[in-house]
Amino acid sequence: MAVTRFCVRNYKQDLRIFPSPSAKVALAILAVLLLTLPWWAGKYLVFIACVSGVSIIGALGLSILTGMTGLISLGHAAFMGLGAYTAAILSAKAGWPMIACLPAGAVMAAFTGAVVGIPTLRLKGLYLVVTTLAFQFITQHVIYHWESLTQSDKGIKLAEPMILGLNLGTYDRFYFVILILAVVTALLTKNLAMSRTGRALVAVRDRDIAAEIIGIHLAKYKILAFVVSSFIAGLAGALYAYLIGLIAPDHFTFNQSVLYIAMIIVGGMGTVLGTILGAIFMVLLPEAINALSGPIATAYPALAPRIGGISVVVYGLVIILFLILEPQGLFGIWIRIKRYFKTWPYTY
Amino acid sequence: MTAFRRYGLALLVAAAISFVAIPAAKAEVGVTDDKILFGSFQDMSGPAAYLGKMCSLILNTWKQHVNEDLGGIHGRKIDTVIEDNKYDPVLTKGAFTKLVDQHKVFALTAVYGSTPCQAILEDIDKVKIPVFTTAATSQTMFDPPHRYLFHYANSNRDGSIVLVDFIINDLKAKDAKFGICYQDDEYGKDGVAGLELAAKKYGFKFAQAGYKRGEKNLNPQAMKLKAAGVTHCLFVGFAPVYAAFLAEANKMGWKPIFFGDYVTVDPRTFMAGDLPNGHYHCFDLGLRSEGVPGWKKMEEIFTKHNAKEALEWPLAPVMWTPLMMLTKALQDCGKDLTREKLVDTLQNIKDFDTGGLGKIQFGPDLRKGSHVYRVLKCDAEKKLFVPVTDWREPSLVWGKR
Amino acid sequence: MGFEILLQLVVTGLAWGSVYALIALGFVLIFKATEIFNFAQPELMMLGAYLAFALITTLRLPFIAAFFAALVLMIVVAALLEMLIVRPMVGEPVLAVIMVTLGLANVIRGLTGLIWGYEELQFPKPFSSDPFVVFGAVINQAEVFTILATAVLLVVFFLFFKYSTAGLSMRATAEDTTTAFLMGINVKRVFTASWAIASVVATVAGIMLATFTYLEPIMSHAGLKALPAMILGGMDSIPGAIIGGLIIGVAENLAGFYLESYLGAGINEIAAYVIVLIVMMVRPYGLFGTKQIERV
Repeated sequence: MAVTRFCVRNYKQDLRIFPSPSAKVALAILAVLLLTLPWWAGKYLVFIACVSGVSIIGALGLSILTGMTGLISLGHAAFMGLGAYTAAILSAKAGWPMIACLPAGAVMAAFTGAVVGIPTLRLKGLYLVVTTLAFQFITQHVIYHWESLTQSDKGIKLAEPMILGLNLGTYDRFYFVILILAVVTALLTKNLAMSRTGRALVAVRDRDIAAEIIGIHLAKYKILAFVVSSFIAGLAGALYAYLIGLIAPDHFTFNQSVLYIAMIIVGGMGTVLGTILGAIFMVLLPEAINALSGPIATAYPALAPRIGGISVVVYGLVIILFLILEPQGLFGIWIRIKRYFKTWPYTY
Repeated sequence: MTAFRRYGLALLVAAAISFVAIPAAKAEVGVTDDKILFGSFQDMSGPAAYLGKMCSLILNTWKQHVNEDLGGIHGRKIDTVIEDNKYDPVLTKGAFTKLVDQHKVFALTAVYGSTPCQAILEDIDKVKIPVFTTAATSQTMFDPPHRYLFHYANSNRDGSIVLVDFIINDLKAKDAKFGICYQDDEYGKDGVAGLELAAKKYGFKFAQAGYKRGEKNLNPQAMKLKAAGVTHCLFVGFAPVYAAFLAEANKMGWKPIFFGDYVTVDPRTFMAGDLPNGHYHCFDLGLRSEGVPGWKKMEEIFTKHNAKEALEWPLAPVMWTPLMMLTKALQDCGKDLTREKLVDTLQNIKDFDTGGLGKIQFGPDLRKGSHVYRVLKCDAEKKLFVPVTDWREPSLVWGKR
Repeated sequence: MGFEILLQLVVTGLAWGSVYALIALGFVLIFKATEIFNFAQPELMMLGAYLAFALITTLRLPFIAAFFAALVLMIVVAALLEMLIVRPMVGEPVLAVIMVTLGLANVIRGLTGLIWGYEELQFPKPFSSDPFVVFGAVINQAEVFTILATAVLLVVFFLFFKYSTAGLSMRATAEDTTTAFLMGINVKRVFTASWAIASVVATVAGIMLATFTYLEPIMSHAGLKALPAMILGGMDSIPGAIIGGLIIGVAENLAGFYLESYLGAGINEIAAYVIVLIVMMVRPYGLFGTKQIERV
């Protein structure tokens, strides 16, 4: 019974960012694990954690635009690319420190987001999807061919990330930068979702004409969604640039955009927790497949040349089966697990 | 003699250092009493999956060859671990970290891909792990030289210069109008850069048309070069695209002489039927059809280890020759194998006998392994490429080596 | 010379445009009937071409026989996919369904690589490579046949949707699924039929594309070009898809010839998207798409 009381929450609690006491305990444990990660995990795991962190930030940005506001974008990687290139150029050519490059990248992406957002106001559904796709390809083309600025596929090498004279150039140090920013982004997104603005965005998603009738300024909120989303994408891109150390046009392709869409769908649309889970899942899935396929290829060398094809098939199958069995995504599973404990021991 | 002395000295110093600094029990990373662990990342399912398949096959054959035919190296067996990087820079960075920190490999071998390799350029310097060799075409791989990174592949810049030398000096072309159709990336632009150098030397102008990697419709490119009146057309890109380009040129009745780069020396060039017949290619490796001892030995080894498929790939020596050289260096290093010692040994091997597979040579400040080229003529009837010149160096030297 | 070049560019552009048009047509057919955006459409195109290739090379069927056999096989494959994978998702969020088709795309691509390898394969050329000469422009036979085939398919679809019962029920379902269901139309069968027809169109496109160049698993990337074609014409318009495809094909060939020197290689690839951006500013529902009248 104690468990039951522990998990159920009242309306007042519902209004908080972290509703139930159990959430607080779980969060505390998670916080300790995350904060000590570089000490107990190997370097490789820390790197994966860094990539996950950047993906979480990027995916949160997309979830504001697509999950909350219902504007589907296939140009998310282009916004990340803008952020990354702004940071890289300022770092490598103008010698700016990281602390200035990160926000600069984010602002640049946000500005472009506004510019892209305005003409797309009239577009809906797939028309918007393909227009953002156009933005993706055109940005890629410009980055590739503006050689004097971007050095094309030679790529730009960033200066070491320094804060207050401290070099954060290793994965286990840079991990904390990413961790802090990921947590801040997640909190802000959650906060946004619970504010008047967030509810306005959701209203736009559910029925934009109805939303307009009840007094929501459509243009304002759509552009706002674009700006906030691309700001976060730009930040993620800039972080990514510092994490990898050298960026080239190939890093921000259409496939990346699709990957981000996959993250928020697999996670469960429009929820912060779902998005985080989705991002981690999509980063870990190929890793898990690789981890399994490696030993298999070693054990059966005859299979080795085919292992690549098999892993692509498995990747696709996991996504298909997963969504057929749980269309609400990881968040749906999470809710189900929670419900199980809430009603325990009277689980049906 | 001096080289020998320097080599000996380096050995002595390395031995002394390893004796003093490292207790005898603690060996180098990735080297145990009975095993040396090599790592590689390969594209198993991405856009270069064909390369990935071939390279992992060759790598696997090398492992079996050393362990079974040679009985290992100084009592140690070779082991390899391959990570799938899908030709993606981030996955490559992850794969590198995993190979270095989780598998703890001794060295990397048989890698390729400009973008993937550039993504880990810095890490290689930081970790000080030998990479022998990369076939990534980017100039940054060897210019400026990085101590731990060895590059062995045909340079398209050299290739373009060799071809222009050939056109002007051997074919004695009068009023040649040069043109180039290239894949618009690091790899293709290298070929354009070579043509630019040659154009400056010989004083001519040329037409160029780029296409994006993955593009299939080469109609505008062929039209453009035809409209410019090109009579000698270089091509830098993959063999199937070359075949498509030849078909496109044929379709519009444009009949220049074509000069393909080294990856067009490939059976897939004959997808264009007899169109490639009589046209030229630049190549830095020995050919199987010549029956050189190096290829004979490869045939023997690859047949024995059930990897005959790799023999159909004319570029196989680009991976195999370095592995043979690596084997020799490992044997030369002796029992106390360290990364530093391996790098020193590799850069000091002179005139490595490849058995006619093509020259491979590094030096203390030289990380570009490929130096001499031949021009081949295509015989579409026999589906062969026949050398029409001797091994030669390009007439221009560029960059820091 | 100038006119000949232009004519040549336009004809080749039309041929490639026909391929884009057919892929776009596949997207539109499924979207119209089921409101699902099928990301696996380019992979269906690739699979169709590979099946035809396998029939020709291993079973030694003549080209025409292999062509029709591949069409039949692809109808079966697409119908199975629809019933096994897409139907369980009916009523789920549209994005989840789209994601499923993305997963499906991966599966098909992986399987193709497993079965036929990643190496480029030469597709047996059914047409002579000797070109026609028309008004000084030299035209490839395969290109002419592609343009003709597209025209024929367009007419067939026009008649099918206008006069046949099946076509009418598909249009009714597209208009309003629930009402169509209540009127006694077998909606399930319509869904399956739309996938089957889309796969037929895709297979034709795949075989055309393969005869132009060669076979490889990443030929599905060419399918991406069909997206701007589809949007340009208007997502729910069949003639729109065809005309959109043709416009894009011609535009990218012209851009590749005239603009490459100024805007860099690959300008032909993005020419399509620039056009889409411009058209979307003027007509947010494409050239021939129906403007949706929304009621709250």
